[in-house]
Amino acid sequence: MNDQVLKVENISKQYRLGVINTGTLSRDIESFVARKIGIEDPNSSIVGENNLKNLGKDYNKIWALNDINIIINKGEKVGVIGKNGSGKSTLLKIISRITAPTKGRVFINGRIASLLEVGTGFHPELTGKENIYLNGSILGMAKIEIDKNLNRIIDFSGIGQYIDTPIKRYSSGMKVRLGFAVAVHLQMETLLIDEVLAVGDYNFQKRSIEKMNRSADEGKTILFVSHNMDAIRKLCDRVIVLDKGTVIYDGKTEEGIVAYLNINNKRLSNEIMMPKVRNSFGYPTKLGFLNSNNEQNAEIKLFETWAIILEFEMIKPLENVIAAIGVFTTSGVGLVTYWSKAKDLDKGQYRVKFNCNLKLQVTDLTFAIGLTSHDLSFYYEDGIGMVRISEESISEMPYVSKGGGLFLSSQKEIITPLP
Amino acid sequence: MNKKIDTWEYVIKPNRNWLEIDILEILSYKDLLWFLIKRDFTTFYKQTLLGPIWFFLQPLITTIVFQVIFNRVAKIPTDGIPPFLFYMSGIIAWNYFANCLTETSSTFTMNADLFGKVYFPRIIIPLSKIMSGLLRFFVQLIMFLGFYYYYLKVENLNIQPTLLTLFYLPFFILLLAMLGLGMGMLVSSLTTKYRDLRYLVSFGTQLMMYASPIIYPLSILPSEYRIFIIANPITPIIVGFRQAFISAGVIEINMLISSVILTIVIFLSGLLVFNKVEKNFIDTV
Repeated sequence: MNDQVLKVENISKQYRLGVINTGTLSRDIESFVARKIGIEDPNSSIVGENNLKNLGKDYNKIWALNDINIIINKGEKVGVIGKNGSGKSTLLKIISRITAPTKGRVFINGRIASLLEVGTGFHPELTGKENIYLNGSILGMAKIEIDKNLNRIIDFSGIGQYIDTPIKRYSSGMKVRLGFAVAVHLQMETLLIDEVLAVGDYNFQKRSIEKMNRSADEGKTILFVSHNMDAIRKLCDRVIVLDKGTVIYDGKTEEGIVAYLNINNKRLSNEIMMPKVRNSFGYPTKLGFLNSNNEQNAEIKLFETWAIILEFEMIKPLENVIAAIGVFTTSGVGLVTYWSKAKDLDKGQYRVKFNCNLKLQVTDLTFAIGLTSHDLSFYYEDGIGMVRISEESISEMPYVSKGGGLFLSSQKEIITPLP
Repeated sequence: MNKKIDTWEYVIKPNRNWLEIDILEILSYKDLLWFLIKRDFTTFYKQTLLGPIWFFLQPLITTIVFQVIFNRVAKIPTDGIPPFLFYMSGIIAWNYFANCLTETSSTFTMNADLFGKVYFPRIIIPLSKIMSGLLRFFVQLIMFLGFYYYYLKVENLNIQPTLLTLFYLPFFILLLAMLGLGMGMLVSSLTTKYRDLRYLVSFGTQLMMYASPIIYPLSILPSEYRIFIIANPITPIIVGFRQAFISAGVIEINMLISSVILTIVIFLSGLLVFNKVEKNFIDTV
């Protein structure tokens, strides 16, 4: 049996929705007295709220995590995936002791470093070197450990000659590199990492993953939370999928990613109604998908031309409005952005149809919606809706790839033997 | 299986005992404490015109203003102590206390971002504030000793510093720090729920200064007010601190004992409440 470094046992975490108290002492006392003598709370926001409360104690409570059990052995590289709000971050916060669980226990062996952010505690007035020490010690390193690794950290960050400059003069990229350089040199046995890889340029990301892979080879344990399936694939040999606060899968990486994508599949719908946004010039009302027969459908056959319908409302008149749709694979790879022509718009409802004739592989797509005018982007949201490009009823299907992306080779060349 | 559980180095539990304070863990973060003190100190004078001179300027100018207004204009006596020394000793001691209180009372609200990202014993932050305040206090104390020496030698004052001063001084400094830290930790724990306590701190410390013998000696108080001023736990500390240098003023031993007891009670309750709140405050802040 391997050495266990982390055991999560029946962990549950409950949050209370809404305002926990009135925020001022005098009003809390007022409410408390009102409750005691049995009159209506003068500070309750909804009339009759107290009656609702009496119906059940759990009325305004939500379980962010519900009875989670996980055992992690030394040297494992575990990915934690799940939709927003599935409880990933809460789990990480409990393991890293930022917040306490409501029920259950977590057993820990060895030191744990939590990297929920790059460069935690950086002070703009301090130099790069001073910040290495500050950040490193906040993350739990002793001064001697930092002394020993200082040169390696500076080398890894690539900051070199600017290391004695206050970091307020650094570019944001330099700050991130410096923070990450400290993080990957932590001497902890277990690292908890939350999406921090999503920063930095491509080269730096690649080096970071390599560095973390090497740390894992040295026997370090990694718990990695991310939405980026490619990064999960590269780094993790096991994934845990969370949905609505429970573990729905725990095992091999590829199967876990499929399980995760299957949660999303439940959202496959032909038409998505969007909520109203008040503090903006306008907002989208509806996102819909049409197949080649002009029928509403989010399941598109391979090579079929299809269309995205965007309906939006302008609250205020605005000139030069452009509507845009970004097309992404569900693993987060951007494929294309479609733009409308710029137009001066009055208040009212509008509709744009984007024809999509890209040759795509079998894949699941999701969308970003943007509304802009000149330099002003007044609406942006991504991860909306889902379309599946599927191979159903296609007779010849040799080019399936799980990675998604473009299907560029529609022309099939003939293989000839060498003379 | 039972054997396995025994070998776990750390267990996270839903609720911590009130008295469960992990001293060893706090000690293991001593390097962080040091870097936080260093940060406070180096960033204090970066991009300022006068830099570290501010450490001297503030108590010096306050002393001069107090001397002019309270001594010359309002004619408040200083028990035969040179007014300059009387005010300055009160001001630097009071400053240290007020500094400890206001800096630690914002621990949770000011560091919510940091506390939401990484765990370390939260008490490190108030401790670092107490320590960097202490450094500033020592710098000001050296300035005070300079003036003190001037009055002793040049003005030939009839005040006798004794060896006892050396023993008294750390004791009163410790009391000041404990009282400031204890009150600050209480307030910071409560501000996670009640934001309006912040306003209470800023004007409360101001009022508390007038309820302490900074600008007047205890001897001039009418007896009906005296009880209130003595009930203020900082009063005997200020008087004692002043007395350590200048053997004048009235300090009664039972007054000092009540102050010490009150200080310890406030400090311990601050520590316990802080320890309780630190586990879950991130959910409510």
